[in-house]
Amino acid sequence: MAEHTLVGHRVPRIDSLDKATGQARYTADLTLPRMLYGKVLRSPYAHARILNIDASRAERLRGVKAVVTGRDTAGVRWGVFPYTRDQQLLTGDKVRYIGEDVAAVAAEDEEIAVEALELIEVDYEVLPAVFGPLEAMQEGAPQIHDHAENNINIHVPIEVGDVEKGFKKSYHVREDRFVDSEYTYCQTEPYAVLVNCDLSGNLEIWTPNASPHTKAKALSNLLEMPLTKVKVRRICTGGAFGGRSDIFPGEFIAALMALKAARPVKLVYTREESFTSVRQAHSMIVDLKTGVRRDGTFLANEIKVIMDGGAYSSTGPIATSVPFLVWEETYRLPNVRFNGYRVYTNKPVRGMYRCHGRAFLGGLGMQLDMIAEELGIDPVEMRLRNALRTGDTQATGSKITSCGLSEALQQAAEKSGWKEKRGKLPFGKGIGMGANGMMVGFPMGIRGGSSAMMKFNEDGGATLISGVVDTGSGNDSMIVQIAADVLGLKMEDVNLVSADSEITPLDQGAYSQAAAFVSANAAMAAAIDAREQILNIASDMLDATVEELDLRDGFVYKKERPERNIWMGKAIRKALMDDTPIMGRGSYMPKIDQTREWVSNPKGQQAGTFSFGAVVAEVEVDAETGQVRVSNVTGAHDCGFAINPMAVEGQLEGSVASGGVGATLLEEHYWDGGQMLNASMLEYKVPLSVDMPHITPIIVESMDPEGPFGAKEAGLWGSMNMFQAIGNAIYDAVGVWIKDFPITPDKVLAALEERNKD
Amino acid sequence: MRLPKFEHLQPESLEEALELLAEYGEQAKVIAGGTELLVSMKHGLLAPSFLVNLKEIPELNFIAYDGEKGLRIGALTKLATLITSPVIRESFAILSRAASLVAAPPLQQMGTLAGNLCLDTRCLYYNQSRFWRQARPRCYKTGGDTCHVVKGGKSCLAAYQGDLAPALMALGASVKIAKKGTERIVPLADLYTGKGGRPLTLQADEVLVEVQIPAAAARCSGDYQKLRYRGAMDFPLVGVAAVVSRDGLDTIAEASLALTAVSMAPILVEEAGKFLQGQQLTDELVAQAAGAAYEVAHPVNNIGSNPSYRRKMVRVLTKRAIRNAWEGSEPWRNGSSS
Amino acid sequence: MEKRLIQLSVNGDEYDVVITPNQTLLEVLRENLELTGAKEGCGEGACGTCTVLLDGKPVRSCLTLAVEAQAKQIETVEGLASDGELHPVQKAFIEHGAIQCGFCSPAMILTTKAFLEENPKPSEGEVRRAISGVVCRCTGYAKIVAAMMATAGEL
Repeated sequence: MAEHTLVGHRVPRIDSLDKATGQARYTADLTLPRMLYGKVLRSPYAHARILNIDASRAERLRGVKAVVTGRDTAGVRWGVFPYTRDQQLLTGDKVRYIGEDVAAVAAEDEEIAVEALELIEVDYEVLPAVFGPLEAMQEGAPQIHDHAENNINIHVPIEVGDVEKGFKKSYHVREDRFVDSEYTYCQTEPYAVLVNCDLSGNLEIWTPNASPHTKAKALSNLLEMPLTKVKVRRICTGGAFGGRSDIFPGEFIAALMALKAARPVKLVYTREESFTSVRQAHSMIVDLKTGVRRDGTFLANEIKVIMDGGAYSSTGPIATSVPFLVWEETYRLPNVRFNGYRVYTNKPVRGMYRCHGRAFLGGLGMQLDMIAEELGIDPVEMRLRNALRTGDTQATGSKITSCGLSEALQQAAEKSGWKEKRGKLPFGKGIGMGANGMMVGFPMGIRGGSSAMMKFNEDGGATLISGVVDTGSGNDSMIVQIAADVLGLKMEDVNLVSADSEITPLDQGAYSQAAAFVSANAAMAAAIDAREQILNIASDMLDATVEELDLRDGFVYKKERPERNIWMGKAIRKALMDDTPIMGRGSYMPKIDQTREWVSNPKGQQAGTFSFGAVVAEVEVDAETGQVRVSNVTGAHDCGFAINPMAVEGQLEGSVASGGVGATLLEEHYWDGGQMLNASMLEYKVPLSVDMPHITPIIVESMDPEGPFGAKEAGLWGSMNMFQAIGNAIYDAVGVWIKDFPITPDKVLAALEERNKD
Repeated sequence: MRLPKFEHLQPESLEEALELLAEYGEQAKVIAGGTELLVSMKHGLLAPSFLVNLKEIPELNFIAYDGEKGLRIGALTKLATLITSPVIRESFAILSRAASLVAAPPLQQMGTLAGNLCLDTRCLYYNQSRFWRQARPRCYKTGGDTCHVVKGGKSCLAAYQGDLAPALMALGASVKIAKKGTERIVPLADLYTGKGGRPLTLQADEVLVEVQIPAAAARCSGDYQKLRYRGAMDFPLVGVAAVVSRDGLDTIAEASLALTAVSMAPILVEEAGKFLQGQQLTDELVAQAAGAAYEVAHPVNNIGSNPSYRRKMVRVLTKRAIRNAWEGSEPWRNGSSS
Repeated sequence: MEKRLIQLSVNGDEYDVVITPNQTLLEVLRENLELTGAKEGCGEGACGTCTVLLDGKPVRSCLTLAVEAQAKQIETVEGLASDGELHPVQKAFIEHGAIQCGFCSPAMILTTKAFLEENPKPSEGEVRRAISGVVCRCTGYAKIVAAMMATAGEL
C-alpha cells in the first residue's frame, strides 16, 4: 500500500448526512408502541434519612402502570470499582444530595406521571449536611457514608524519588495554591433513557452513552440478570465529554419500571435534572510546591489536591489520580509526591470531565511561568527544557513510545509570533502558553481492549462490527475510513454496526481517549485479517502470490500488471463456495501494566501511548472592567497521525470553546448550600459563537509505532491546556496572576486594584 | 417541560382584547412574544387560566414618526423591527442599539417592545422550577414571607433587567396604557413600582399599547452600555443609557442618564441630568455623573456575578455611555429643548 | 381545556392536527407530526436546539404555541432537501466538517439558511451574530462559521 486512498485525507463523516437532515435519532426522539412516560421524585433535602415512603395513592391513580422505590431494588450497591460500591441507584436508606432519586412512576402520559409524583408521600428525617470538602474532612462533620471516616472517599498517595532532598538541592522553590469551582458538561442533549421489556424479561435500552458495555454490565449486576438479557442499543448521543460513561440512576429506574409494567418506559430529564442528577465536574483546591534547578528544570514537585466529589464515588479513584498523571505525562519529574483526596459532600455526584481540573492544570502551567519569570527564562524555553521526549520514562514508570511535545511547543510558538509578542504587546494585550500530555487508554481490566469483526456481501460490500462508540467526535467514521482504506473499498461500501452490547464485541467506549488507539486498532486488525483472506483466495484465482497483489476500488489486482485483476465479489463468492467464507477478526489490547491500580499500585505502564499538545492564546484585557477576550488561539497537537484531519481539527477547535473560553473564563456553578443556583442554559454560561477567538489548529504527527497508521488521540488538547495559556496571557497583558478559576472579570479587576495599591 | 392548562384567546382588535381583560382580570395574562411568560408558566411561577394573545392585533404593531409630535411605537413592535427601522436608527439610535443587545437574533424576532419594558423582575432564587423552589421556604415574590438573598430582608429585591427601559427613559419616553373604555399617558418611569415583588403599576385589566418619544429627542445622541459576560443571550448585569444634546462645541445642552439591573426598577439618575445640563464636558464632570449613578445603584447578589463588582461597573459604563453619546452628537446652536 | 383542530403548514405540506392550547409548536412537531429534527435542549429558549423557521425567520419553537403557528409557513430541517437533493447549506455543513454530535445541527442549518437568504455577503462577525442564539458544545463554532462563509452568495 504505497499511498493511502482514504486515511490521512479530509473526508466527510459517515454520520453527517443523517444529522444534517434530521434523520439521526436521539433517545428522546424514539417512541415504541404502548410506551409509558416516567418521572422521578427527587429529594429536596441535601441529607436525610428516609423513614417511610407511601406510594399507595400514586399506584392507585388511573393511568399509572408502575411505581418504584428503593424497596423494589435488590439493594445492590454499585460502584465503578469493587472497592467503591457506595451507591444504591434508587436510594433505600438515605438521601445524600438535593435532586437524588427517591421514587419514580411510569404512566400512560406525562401529565398523569407528574400528578402521581405529587401523591407519593415520603417521610424524611433531615440530617445536618456539609457542602465543602474542607468542612467535610473536619472532625465532627456530618458523616455521609458509614464507611468513610472524615468523609474521605479516595486517597491516592504517590511517591517517586526523594522529594525532601530535591527541595534542598533546588535553586528556586515556589509554593502556590490554585482553586477551581465546579463546572459541568452541559451537553446540548439532555439526559434521557428508553427501556423496552418483553414478556421473557429481555431488556433493550437506549440512552446517550459513551459505552454500552459498561452500562449493560452495571445493569446486569444491579438487576441480577445475565448480560444476554440486558441489551444496550446503539443510539446517537448529543455529546458526552466524559459525562455519559458510568451507570446512572435513570437507566436503572427505567429498567425497573419497564420490568414491572412489562411495557416500554421512557424517561426524559429536564435541563435542570440533567445538571443536578447525572454528573458534574469536581471542584479542586490544589497546593503546588515546585523546586527547580538553575536552568528551570524540575527537581522536586509536591502536589496536594482536595476534590469535592459529591455524594457518591462514581469514578473516584480515576478522578483523584488524573490531577497527578497529567503532569507526569507532560514533564520530567524526578522527585514527586502527590496526595489526592476525593471528599464526599452532600452535593450531586462528580465524575470525569473532558476539561479535567482547571486548578491543577492551570496551576502548574501558570506556576511554570511564574518560575520562568523569576529565573529570567522564556516560558517556551522553560517548557522545552522540561518536556518529555520519545524514549523517556514518566515518574511512575510509563514509557513513551512517541512524543511530539517539543515540536508542538515550537510550532505553537512560531506560528503565533511568540517571540515578537511576548512581553512586547501594549498594556492590556498579552500572549501566553499552555502545554499538556494525555494518556491514551488506561487500565480497565477486560474492558481496556477492543475487538472487531468483518463480514462480506456477495456483491462486494462489507459490514464492520465493532464496539466503538461515537458520541460526536467522529469515531464511527474513523474506523470505517480505516477499514475501507485497508480493503481498497469506498467508505460507502463499508457499513458499520457499532455500540450495541448484544451484537458488538467488548470495547472500552468513548472513554479514556482510546478510540483511535484501541478501537481503531482492533478494526484495522479485523480489516487486515479479512484482506489477507481475500488475497489468499484471489492469489489462486489470479495465479499470483499474495505479495504480488493489492486491493483498490473493489478489485484485487496484480501490482506489476494491473490488467490482471478480479472483482472482489468474485473472491468473496469463491470463498463461500469453498466453505471458507471471508470473516475478518481482530482485536487490540494496549500494552499496559495490568497490575497497575489507581490507589493500591499506581506504578507501571499507565497507558499504551500518550498524546501531547501546546497552545498559545492571545488575550485582550479591558483593565477597567476586568473583562478578558481571547482574540487568537494557535496551537499544535501531536495526535500521532491524523486519520481524518478535518475531524481532528474539529476536536481541537471544540476544545478551545469548552476548555478555553468556557471553562477558563465563563463556566462555574453558583451554590447555596446543596442547591445549584444556575442549573439552566441561560445562567450557566457556555460560550457562544460571538465569544470565540480565531483558531489556528496545527497537527503534529509523531507516528506512534503501535497506533493504527501511527494515530493516538485528539479529543482533549485545548480542554487541558487552554487554562494555562489564558492565565499566562492575562499576566502578560496586565501583570496579574489569577489563581482562582474561572477567571471572571470581577477577579481580574480585584487583582488589578490590589496591584495598583502596591 | 410542559405548560400548564389554559384557555387561549386570540382577539383581533385592541377593543376586543380590552373587553377580555376587563372580563377575566386577574385570571388572565396577555401574551406578546411569549419568551418570558411561557418560561414562567413552565416553571410554575404563573398559572393564568386565560392567555390573551395580542399577536394578531395590527393596531399594536406600528412605527410612526412626525417631526413635531415625535415617535410613536406600537407595543407589539418586534425588537428586530426596532433594530432595523430606518427612522429609529437615524434619529433615536440608542433605542436601536439597546434592542440589538437584547438576547440574540431569534429572540429579537419573537420579543416585543412592550414585552421587554414589562419584564418581570428576576432573581436566581425566583426563576427556578417548582421542584427547586420547594426545597426552601417561599420567598416574598412567590407569596411567602422571607428573602433568600438578604437574610432578614423585609421586602423583595428582585432585579429589573430590561434593556430598553433605560434607553427610553433617557429619551424622555412616555407610555400609553389602555383599559376598557379609557386610556392614559404617563412617563415611562410611572410604569414601575420600584418593588421587586410586583414590579409594574399595570392593573390586571390594563395593557401597554404604545410608547411615545418626544420629537426633541431626535436631536439628541445617545449610547447604551451593557455589561454581560457573554457576547449574546444574557440579561444585563448592569445597563447604562446616556442621552445628550450639544450646545455649541463643548457644552452639554441637556443630558439624561438611566440605569437598569441595579435595582427593582430602571432608574432615571435625575441628579446627573441636573448637574450635566449646560456644562462643559470634562473628565471631572463625567466622573461626577458616574458618581451620581453609583449612588443610586444598589445591586444585590441575586442575578449572578457579584454585586460590589457590578456597582463599580456602573461608574465605568456611565463614563463610557456619556463619552460615546457625546462623540455621536452634533453641535446644535441655541440648545435643543422643546 | 378543550382540544381543538388546527391546520399547520409544515415544509409545504398541510396538516390537520388535534391539539390543546397549551401545546407548544415544538411538542406538536415532535409528537403529533413525528418531525424530531427540532430538539428540546432546555425548553426555556436558552439553547436554540428547538429552532424552526416561521415565515422564514428562526424562532424558538419551545416558546411558540402551536395555535400561534397557524396560517404561517413552518420550515423544519426535514423539509430542506428536495427530490433527494440536499440543500446547499446541508451540503456545506457536511463537507466542512461542521457537524459533530449533531444535536444543534438542525438549528444551525436552518438559522444559516434563513440568514444567508437575506444576507448574501456577510462578514464573519455578522455570521457569528446570526448563530449567537444557538449553543454548540462540540465544534467551537469554527467549522460552522466556515461552512456559512463558504455558502454565502449561493442562496
